[in-house]
Amino acid sequence: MTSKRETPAEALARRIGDRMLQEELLHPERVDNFLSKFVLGKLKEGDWRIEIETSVKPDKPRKK
Amino acid sequence: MIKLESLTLEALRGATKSFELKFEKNKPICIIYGENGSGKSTVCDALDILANGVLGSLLNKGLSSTTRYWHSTNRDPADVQIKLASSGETWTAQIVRGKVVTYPPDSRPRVAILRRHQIWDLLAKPPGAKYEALRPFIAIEAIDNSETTLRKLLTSTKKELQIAVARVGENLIALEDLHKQAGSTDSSVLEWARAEAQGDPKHQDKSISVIQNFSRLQQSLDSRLSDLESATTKLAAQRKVLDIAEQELASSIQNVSSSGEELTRLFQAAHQYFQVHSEPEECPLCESREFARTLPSAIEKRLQGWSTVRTALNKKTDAQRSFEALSSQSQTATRYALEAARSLVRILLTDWPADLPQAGDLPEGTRVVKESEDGSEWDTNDLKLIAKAGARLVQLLEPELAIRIQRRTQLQTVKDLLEQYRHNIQQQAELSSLVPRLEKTHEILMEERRLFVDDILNRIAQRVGELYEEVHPGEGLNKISLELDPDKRASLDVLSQFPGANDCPPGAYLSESHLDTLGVCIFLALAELDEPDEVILVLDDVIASVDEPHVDRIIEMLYSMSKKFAHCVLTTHYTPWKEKYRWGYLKNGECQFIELGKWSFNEGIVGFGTKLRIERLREQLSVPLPEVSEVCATAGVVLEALLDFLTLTFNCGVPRRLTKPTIGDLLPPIKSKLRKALRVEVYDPAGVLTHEIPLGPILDNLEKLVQVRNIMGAHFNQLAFELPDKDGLNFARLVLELGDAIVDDEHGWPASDRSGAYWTNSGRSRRLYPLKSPA
Repeated sequence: MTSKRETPAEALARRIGDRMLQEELLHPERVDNFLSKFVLGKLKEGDWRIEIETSVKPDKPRKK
Repeated sequence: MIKLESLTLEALRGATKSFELKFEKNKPICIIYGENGSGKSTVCDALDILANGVLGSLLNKGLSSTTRYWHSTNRDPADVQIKLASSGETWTAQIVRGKVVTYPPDSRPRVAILRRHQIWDLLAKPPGAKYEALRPFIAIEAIDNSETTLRKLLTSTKKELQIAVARVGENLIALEDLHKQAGSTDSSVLEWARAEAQGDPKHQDKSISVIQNFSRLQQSLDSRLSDLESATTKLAAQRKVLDIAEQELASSIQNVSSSGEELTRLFQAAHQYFQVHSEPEECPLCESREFARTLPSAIEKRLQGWSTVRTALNKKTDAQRSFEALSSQSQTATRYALEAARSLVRILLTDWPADLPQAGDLPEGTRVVKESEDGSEWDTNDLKLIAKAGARLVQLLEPELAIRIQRRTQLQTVKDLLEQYRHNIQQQAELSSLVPRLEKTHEILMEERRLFVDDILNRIAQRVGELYEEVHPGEGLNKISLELDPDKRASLDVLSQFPGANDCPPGAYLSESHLDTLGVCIFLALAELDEPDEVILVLDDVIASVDEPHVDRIIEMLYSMSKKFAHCVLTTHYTPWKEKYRWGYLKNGECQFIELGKWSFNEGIVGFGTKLRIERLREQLSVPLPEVSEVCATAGVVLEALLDFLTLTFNCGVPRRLTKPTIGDLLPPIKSKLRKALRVEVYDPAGVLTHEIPLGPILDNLEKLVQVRNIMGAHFNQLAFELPDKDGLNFARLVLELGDAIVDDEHGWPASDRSGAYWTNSGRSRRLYPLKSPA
């Protein structure tokens, strides 16, 4: 009777996570950490900011 | 599918004493009946706490924190314990420091609870409140919470950006002001500021320091010169005092003798000697014994004669000592003044910045500086010249100092402003990049949530209509739509089609009973979406207003739905439910019925099973000496129900009266042709016919004894004294025989004619013939 499969919150969180990855709003290496907090409703403002800021790829060095 | 075994409540709300609810095996529905305040909601709360960590019956009651009210008032929060045992797992919950702690920690039962107030929130409140009511059932509250924090971040970041932009503007305005003050016109503000910031404040610092140091030294020199002048004046005055004292001494000695001074000193020494040796035997000088005894007094007398000389001598000695001290002070003052002058001149010669007025330009200072760099040849006049030149120079330096301090301040201000400007520009750039990314993320969250919820709502909308149609067939209100408002966050519209009016809110046309049904249907449709066989369904007093005949249909629907869930717990204070159970109208084989007694502080929640009427009759008859009047009374009520069922089923002509028909009205209309045809086939659970019971003989015998009920079991009647008890007991036994033939404890009454050949009950354990009354 206990839930072992994907809950509605997990399903929705996964969909949102996928979209954020597509839009490069989430760093691929941080997805698991992000989703684990996201699905429990434990993402604070600071967490969101870190995720969005770290999703930005550093500028590639310009070719001379 | 896991099945519940027991629920134990300790010190929770009304459970002032331990309360255990044992679930019967193979009965997927547990109906808990009780008056208001009997403890029904406490049972639901226990399941809510275990599964969801909340006590739902206290929500929306204006209480900021509810945990402090969870425990029974005679117990402590730490005493609260809830235990739910099932065939597969046992869960417990306790309150520790105001928080729910469950065990096992990583597992909770899945419980879907609907309470009455939620139906009204869902159907009769504004769209925002509707969504709030629906949200717990969609189970994405955690995502909503995260969305809320993202929205707050977006708002605060936008404000941060506004502030950064404003600060950049403020920095530019301040720099422009300084730019104007500086009178620079040949470059832009920022170019000017960058160039200014390149300037070295240390250069200004050095000039400022030299000027301030020079001014301080010049003041010091003035002070030293003042001290020197004072010392010189005092020394000259003391010289005069000393000269006078010397003249006075010479004059007094001359008056006494030419060698008076030396003699006076000799006598003073002798006098001091005789102070110690007051009785000398001989003269300490010539060793003569003559007049030796009178020597001290003789010297005393001689000394008195020399007192004028002695006074003058003392005065001269004091004057000499003072002169020597003042002379030393004068030398010290001269040395200090020289040192001050040297320090002043050293600055001019060694550290003097070229852009400052030069001492060499001054006529008083030129000679001093050039000729006596080390100051060794300087006299007081030289020092005064230096001091005068220094004072003049300090006067010239005053405006220079002010200019340099202002310049220094301006340079630092430009530097600081430029630094702030660069910082704010960078912050503005970072925030300008962050805000659209946050907006995009928020947009994705809202869009995906809306799609997700819309998908759920679309999936259930048709199902809601189907369920509703089961309860209210043919009323044409089965076209239900549940729509999120795309323009508003968390806003839900529940719309229905009514004859002649499309897309109307149900509250506009539906009765309270209909709204209750619709709310239950929406909830059930949502609950069955998500693996219902793992969910305990709890309906807390939600169908109070449902009227006949809809109550039978909603019960039928709940029975049907409950099969999909792990277990179904219904609470109600609706009396017809209890009566239907007692008469076996419910599918008692699938349903456990628990009646809660009146709650009291000392006893807490009290629960007991409810006996079927027929079982009650069997119980009354089974004792060694049955109370005949009570047995007849019960048998009479049971017989009325049985005859009511038969006359309705076979359309017998019962006379119409304003009052309820009596046995005398119900029995005769069952005519002999029908009686002969009436029979019941009894089948076992495997569907095998076990025996057949003709009903005609029973009814015939009952007709002979029917008056017994009126005499012995209805009213006080003295005729009863004349009748033997066995007549009453025979009447009751016949009623029980008829009841056992028609009604099955487990599967109820044979009220279905779907077979087309006979009437049967839900478990097909009875077949009542004929299908129709013979002509």
